Amino acid sequence: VVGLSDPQIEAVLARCRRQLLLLRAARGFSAWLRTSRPICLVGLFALCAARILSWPLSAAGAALAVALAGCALWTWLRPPPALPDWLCVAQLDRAAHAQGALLARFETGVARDPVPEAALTRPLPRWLPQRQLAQLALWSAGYAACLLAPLPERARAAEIAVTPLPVQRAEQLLRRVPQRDPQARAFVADAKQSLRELAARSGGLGGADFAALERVEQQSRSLIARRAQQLAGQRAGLAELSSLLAAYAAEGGSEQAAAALREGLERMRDAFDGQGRASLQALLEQLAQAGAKAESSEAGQSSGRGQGAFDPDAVADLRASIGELQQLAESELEALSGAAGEPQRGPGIAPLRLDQQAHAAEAQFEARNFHTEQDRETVLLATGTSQRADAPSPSQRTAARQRFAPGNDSEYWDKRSSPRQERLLERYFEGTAR
Amino acid sequence: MKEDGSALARRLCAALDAAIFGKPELTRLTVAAFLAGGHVLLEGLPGLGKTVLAKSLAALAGLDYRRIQFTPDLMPADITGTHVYEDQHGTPQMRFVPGPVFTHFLLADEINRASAKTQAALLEAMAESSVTLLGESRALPAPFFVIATQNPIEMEGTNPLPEAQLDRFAIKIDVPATDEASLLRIITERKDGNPVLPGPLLDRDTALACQRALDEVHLPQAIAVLIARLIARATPGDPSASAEVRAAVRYGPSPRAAIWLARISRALAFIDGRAGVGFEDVARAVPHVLGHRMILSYGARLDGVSVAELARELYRSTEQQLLTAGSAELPARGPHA
Repeated sequence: VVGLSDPQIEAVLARCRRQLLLLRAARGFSAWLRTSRPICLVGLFALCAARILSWPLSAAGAALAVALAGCALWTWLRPPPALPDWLCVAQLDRAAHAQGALLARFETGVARDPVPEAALTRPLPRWLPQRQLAQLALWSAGYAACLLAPLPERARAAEIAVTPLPVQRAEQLLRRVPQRDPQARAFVADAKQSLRELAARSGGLGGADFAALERVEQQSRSLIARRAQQLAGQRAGLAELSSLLAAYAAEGGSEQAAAALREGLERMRDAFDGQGRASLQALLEQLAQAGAKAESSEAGQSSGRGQGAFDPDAVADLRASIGELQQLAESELEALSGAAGEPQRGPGIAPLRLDQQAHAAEAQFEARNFHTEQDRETVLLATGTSQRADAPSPSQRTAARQRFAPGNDSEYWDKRSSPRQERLLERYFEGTAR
Repeated sequence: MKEDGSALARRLCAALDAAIFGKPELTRLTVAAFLAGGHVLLEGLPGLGKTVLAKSLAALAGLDYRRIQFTPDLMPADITGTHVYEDQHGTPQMRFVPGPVFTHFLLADEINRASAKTQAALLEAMAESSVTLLGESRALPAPFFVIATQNPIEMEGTNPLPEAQLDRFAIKIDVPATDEASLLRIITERKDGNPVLPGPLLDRDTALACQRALDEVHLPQAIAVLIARLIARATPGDPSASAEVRAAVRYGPSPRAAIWLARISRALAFIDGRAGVGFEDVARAVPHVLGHRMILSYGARLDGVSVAELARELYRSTEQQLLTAGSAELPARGPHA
């Protein structure tokens, strides 16, 4: 037998050591895969269920990652039986027919028997855990299929951006702000922009956000109050004008009545527009002509009925305009001051002071009305507390967003809620009412 | 000394090969058993050279040689010796007359023809290298080497060796038939049929030194693990036993089998002049060490299962398992340990 030289034997042994490291790594990988097999299986089912039931996938993914890391830790703490150091040397010794020479050199460090040259060229058994890699590929394919497979529309779940209730309230208030002057228009534009940003905030509202909302609401209320005051004055003026017009008609156009009417019309000139403004203008011109005639015939006329009657059509138009203006003012006042359209603030179980007793009452109430977590989610969703909802199809989503505006939520939920959810909501709100 | 011993052993084997034609494996295994300090059971038809082998080995080793022809009426005292009454100068006394067991080489010819009691007389001698008579133990000369023979035919009236006694033999060798070329050499080179032997190659001290040198042969951890696993897998009650072993084997080998397998493997490597044991040495020794220690079930005997072939197959599967998956459950030993 032609023996290898010392450096050659060292090279052979180094090759065996490298191979052993790879084998140990592959063994650890296999052990980890074996440990995590049930986790992978459960995770796959959970992922499927999460997709079908529209649960958040990110939570499932994070849980799976933590579980796999736990399996790795478990494998690290309880490793499989270690491969002996001599394994690869023995394999090579046998394959090269070294008759124990390589093993003796490995263990004693002394080469007393010649190591055949075949030890240099003989391949060592494969170290790649092909079965385990194939298994891993299968798992990956299963997960990819689970994540990428299309689901039926009705089973698909998505997030709906629901505007937080305080923002809805501010938006609603802002919508009532009259935009008659540039200053009010600028304020409304800025406030809308701010509210849009607040509505798009995903992590909840902070102290600064609530302060901004408070400022918007204060300014809105101030503008609304100012407008309401104007409207109240206008309504009073119109009523006075209406009475003056009636008095003028009843007195047959006396100078005193005409003067009072003219004064009233002048005062209320800004209140009219369109046809009403034209009628007012015609009346004012007639009043002016009547006044001129009265001055020219002042010496020959002794009675006070010198200016004659107004054009009946103009009077009728003016009356109609006054009536319309009165109705407009009434309705605008009602819109400004009314509570109609106030967003739902949820079941009125929350007391003004949250103490231990209040919490206990709330827990009792929830235990009575929420049988499952899903029930709770449904109710909280319907009352605007939660951000998630069963989404409509993508084609309906835009329309749903439009419908899901403050004041329209009940309609939206009527259309979007399943019969079970409707029953639950009915039961819930009945319980709240009691 | 080891190198000298290896050379001597090889010369011994070569001389035996010159005496026994065409049976090199038989001569190597017999020399290996002698160097390992074990005893040999030869089984074969009459005239295959069993007795010649024993006589030749004894002559070449330069050691005392005795032969006992086992017969049904052979008594234990005929083997171990006995006390005889003697009147020495008017003083009566019992004098011990040693039996033929007090020798270096003992040929127990046709050992299965003696009674169980007589066979058992050899037990202590083979295991302890001593004989106890009337409460007095007498050591046998070292080295003590027994070669027993038995015929597989004419079994009527014989007493097959019990398992306990079979276990005392380090190896059992089935003596193969002589091939045509060897027969031709025998009839042309040996007119009277007796081999011409050179002078003794060893003496008592050299033989003992060779036996001691065997301990210097390195037994790698991988081989030790292989032997341990092999013996465990040959035991039907062991969890690692193969399906074949469970089906065919009634009793597996004892730990003594592991000891002798390692020692015979060492001896084979020693004879080859190697400093360490290899897988090949174990593979050569396995059928002869395990063959008489694995007791087949009745069904396996009826099916004609060969225990030697079963042992070879067991070795192959064990080696493959060891080198494929490693023997993780056994402690590993690092380099230069």
